[in-house]
Amino acid sequence: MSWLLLGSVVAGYGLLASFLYRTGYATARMTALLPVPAIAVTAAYVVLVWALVPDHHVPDAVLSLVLFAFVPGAAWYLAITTLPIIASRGRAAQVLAERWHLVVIAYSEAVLVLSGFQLVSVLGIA
Amino acid sequence: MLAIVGYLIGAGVAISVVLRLAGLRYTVTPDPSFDPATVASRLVPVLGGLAGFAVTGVVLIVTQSGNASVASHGGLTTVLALFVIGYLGYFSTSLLFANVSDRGERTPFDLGAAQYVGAAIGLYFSTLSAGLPCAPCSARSASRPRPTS
Repeated sequence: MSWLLLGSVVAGYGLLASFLYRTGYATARMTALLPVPAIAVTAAYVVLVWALVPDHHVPDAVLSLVLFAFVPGAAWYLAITTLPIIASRGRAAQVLAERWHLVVIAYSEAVLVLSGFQLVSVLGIA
Repeated sequence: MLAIVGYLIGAGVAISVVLRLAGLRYTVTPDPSFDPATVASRLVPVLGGLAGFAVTGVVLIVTQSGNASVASHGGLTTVLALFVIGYLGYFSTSLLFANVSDRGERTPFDLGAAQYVGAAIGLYFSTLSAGLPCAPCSARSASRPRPTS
């Protein structure tokens, strides 16, 4: 039954990819490439855990990752809620127009990597 | 701690790769047929319902934790934390969607699209966080000895 989570993570990415594409923050090629580094990094994490941790499982990894995720999540919430104030300033709006897509892509990738790590932890793979 | 250190290193590597792929000169061009404010307003009641579901899960678990067989399980704290994070995720994401601006005058920075995509990333993570409690629960039921007839 736990493998249903894998399906929800994979299928749920379709909605995120669609939103990234339709808002213009990623091309179709970029939406296809975004999960690749996340999968590679997660696979490397699994290999390292199997090689270095005695019982092939990091204790309390799910809880610590979820609680850790609150920190960047709260910062992201603050950034999005204050975006109208920042974007109302002329020079800041110009900088946001040129660079905000990098922040969105970086945060999307961080969330995908976190999803991968949580998935392998909760499924008992690493 | 090992998982967090591994995540920080892994996320750093993955982010540097995708930023190199994205490039500095990319221009954000939203789909003209997509109205972020309208779609966001449709998503808010859905997320409100899901937040209510997560709260109900917390209340049910806390109520049932008086039962010794449930309370003695070491994963109870983790499951509760996952439900609470799921609730906070859905609640905060619904607030973000509710605040998506209408398309006004054309400016270099499309505020509505930026707010919408910010909320959408939160939605993806909230859905995963709210689904994670199912895994320990199913593992628990699988490891529980079956009654013999």
